[in-house]
Amino acid sequence: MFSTTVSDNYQLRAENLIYEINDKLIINGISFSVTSGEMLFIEGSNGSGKTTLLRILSGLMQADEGKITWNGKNIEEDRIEFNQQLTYLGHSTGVKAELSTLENINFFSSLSGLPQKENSQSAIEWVGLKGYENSPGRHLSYGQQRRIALTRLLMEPSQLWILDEPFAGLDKKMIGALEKRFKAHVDNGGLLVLTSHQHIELDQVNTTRLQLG
Amino acid sequence: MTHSNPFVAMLFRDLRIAFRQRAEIMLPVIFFVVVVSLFPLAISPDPTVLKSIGPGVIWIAALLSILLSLQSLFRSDFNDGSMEQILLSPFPGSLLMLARIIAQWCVTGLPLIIISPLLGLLLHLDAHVIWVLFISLLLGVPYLNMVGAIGVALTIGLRQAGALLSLLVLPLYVPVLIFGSNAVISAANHLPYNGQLLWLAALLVIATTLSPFVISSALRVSCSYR
Repeated sequence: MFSTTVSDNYQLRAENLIYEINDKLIINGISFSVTSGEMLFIEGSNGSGKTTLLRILSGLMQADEGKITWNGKNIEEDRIEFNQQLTYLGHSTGVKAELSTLENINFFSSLSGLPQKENSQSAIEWVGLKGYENSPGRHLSYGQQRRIALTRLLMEPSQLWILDEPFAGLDKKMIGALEKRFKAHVDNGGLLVLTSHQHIELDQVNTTRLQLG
Repeated sequence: MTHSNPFVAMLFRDLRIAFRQRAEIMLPVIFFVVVVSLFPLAISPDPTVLKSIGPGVIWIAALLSILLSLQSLFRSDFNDGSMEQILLSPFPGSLLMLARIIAQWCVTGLPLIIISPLLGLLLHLDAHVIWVLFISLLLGVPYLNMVGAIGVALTIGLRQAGALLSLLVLPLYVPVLIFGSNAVISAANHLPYNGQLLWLAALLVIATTLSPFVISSALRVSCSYR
């Protein structure tokens, strides 16, 4: 099921990141590094810059100062290689209202052009959307749309997961399944960067906590 | 149906979405037909008058109708977060954008071009003039789609983008409008029109090669200032 080799060692490193909006410092000189088999848990109140930091880490936004490196290389220099290793889940799910569950999932998986880890049918079963394959996105609840977005974690063969509030809108059972999936990812040498208002503790996972604000 | 190639997947996704919102894709064509058919009512049904204003009227209506259709381009992707996923794809962003423009052209530009000979008949244009009109739109309308998409990519992050978009894009539409309608007028006057058509073709080649890169960079910038 997992084709990743533990011997590969990846590292995401941020050095002295600074970001300001309208003369207000949102991110003030943050540095950290995450390597294979580690989790970075970013904590902070609303408006403390968690989402901004994740968007900067994924390359969607540029920091005013500081740099982010992936295996020693600046992520701006080798975007294609970095994007191949990245799965980013933001606040918005990216689910199209006009497309069915299956069409949405198939589009996500073909967008990277890389072979998928698992097929869409088993991903649908994992997120509990069996029976909703042909329902258009507009007929699904917010939680169900979040679940569609989460299938990318199963299908994309990426090492680095950057997840913004992955538990938002999910029920207890799904949260439990997701925590298991996180642990499996990290145990297989993956990197996990996430924010959450929910307290999570993964057994025997090397966790760095970063407090913002 | 799964498409492992991201270019094809993008193209089919956009076409599928467009065909599921039929009312929206019919709007530019209906606008085009209505605007052109208002001219005989408002100015004169006299064939000689219509023959002389016809080429310009059809070209202006096509241009405005493309401008109208631009408003919805990229908007829903920007709002629902799919744009972030598209920008973070390891597949070249410019090729994904090219797929999007081709899809957009299929649902907005292509119907205009197909229906234009009928409107030419309505305005009493001769058969060989209608043929030149058809070719000029075939070469010019994709340019309007591509350059318009650059304007949309630059203004998508703004709240009131509509007016700014027109100001930004209309000056860039002027050369195509001049060459396009002039080719048709020359044909009507039995003058050579190859030069104008070649200019349209040259502009189309430039737009096709450069606009995907510009659109993808502009969207990157727009997305980084949310």
